[in-house]
Amino acid sequence: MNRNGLIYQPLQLQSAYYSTVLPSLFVGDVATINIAAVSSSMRNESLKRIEGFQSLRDNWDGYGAYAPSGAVCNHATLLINQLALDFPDVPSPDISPSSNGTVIFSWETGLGEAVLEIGEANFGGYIGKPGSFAPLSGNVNSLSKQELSVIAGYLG
Amino acid sequence: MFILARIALRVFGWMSVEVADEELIVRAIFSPYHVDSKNKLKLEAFHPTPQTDEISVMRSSILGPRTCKRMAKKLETPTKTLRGFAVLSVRTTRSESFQVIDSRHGNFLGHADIRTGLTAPAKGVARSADELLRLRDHCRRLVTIARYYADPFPTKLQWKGQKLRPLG
Repeated sequence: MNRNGLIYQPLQLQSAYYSTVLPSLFVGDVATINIAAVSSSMRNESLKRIEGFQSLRDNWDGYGAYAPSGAVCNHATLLINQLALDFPDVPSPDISPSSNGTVIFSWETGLGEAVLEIGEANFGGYIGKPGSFAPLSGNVNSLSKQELSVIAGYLG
Repeated sequence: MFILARIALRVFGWMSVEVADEELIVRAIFSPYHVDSKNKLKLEAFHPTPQTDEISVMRSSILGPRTCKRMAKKLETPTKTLRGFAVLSVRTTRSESFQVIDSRHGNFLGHADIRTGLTAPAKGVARSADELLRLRDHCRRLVTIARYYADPFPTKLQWKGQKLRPLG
């Protein structure tokens, strides 16, 4: 158990699910996604924020931070679209660039937090609450509805 | 308390390599992404320099707020302006199991680092769940013990804000 009272308890995810659920969301063009029915306010607010990251240059924080690459911003955009499409009730995440050129999504509740870090090729994250800690990781192209449903379930 | 240290710096250009527990350190905050809409520090304000476990700070007890601001202004660019300072007590920072060390070499006299022991990954690489949890725990602890002073006059070269004090 760590200092936050979280117990490390791996979450079992079915890897076979990854490549079959909504793969087009992660290989296609953002503009091709049907977003007509999604939660537009959450989506627009989040997309605007990510758009802002694209104008960052290296050393944007004054301490040598890398700017998120176009690939990272694209992955983050796709994630927002997927969340808005499949989980419109999920509240807006806090989205921030990290000093190593990744983008971090976080949702904090009174019980704990869900965090996803999106890189160029991989993602990492966790859902932590008292008594449980569910790690998330994998290839960013295979970030699936499965992981997002776990997060949505936690936030719901 | 640091009058002699300040005189030694001004007259002889000398500063102890040892960072005393009684000192205050400040982290200059540049990015709008490092403070929230309520002007509170975000966890990302204490992300380490890429591929290191080092969080750059300045030894403000000896440099003084004017010099800290002058040094911070040197890091500004047209798209990156100083927004304020996060002030920490060295003693409190160390009590949270972080190291605070002088790191003037390659930087400037008065530069120091908070070292967390958790090295940031390479560019574009996401952390593992465990690393992410540790990073956020470190940042949360630092945000908790830091006092943020938004710069009321960011375009001025001198610090015209309140006297910099730590929490507590």
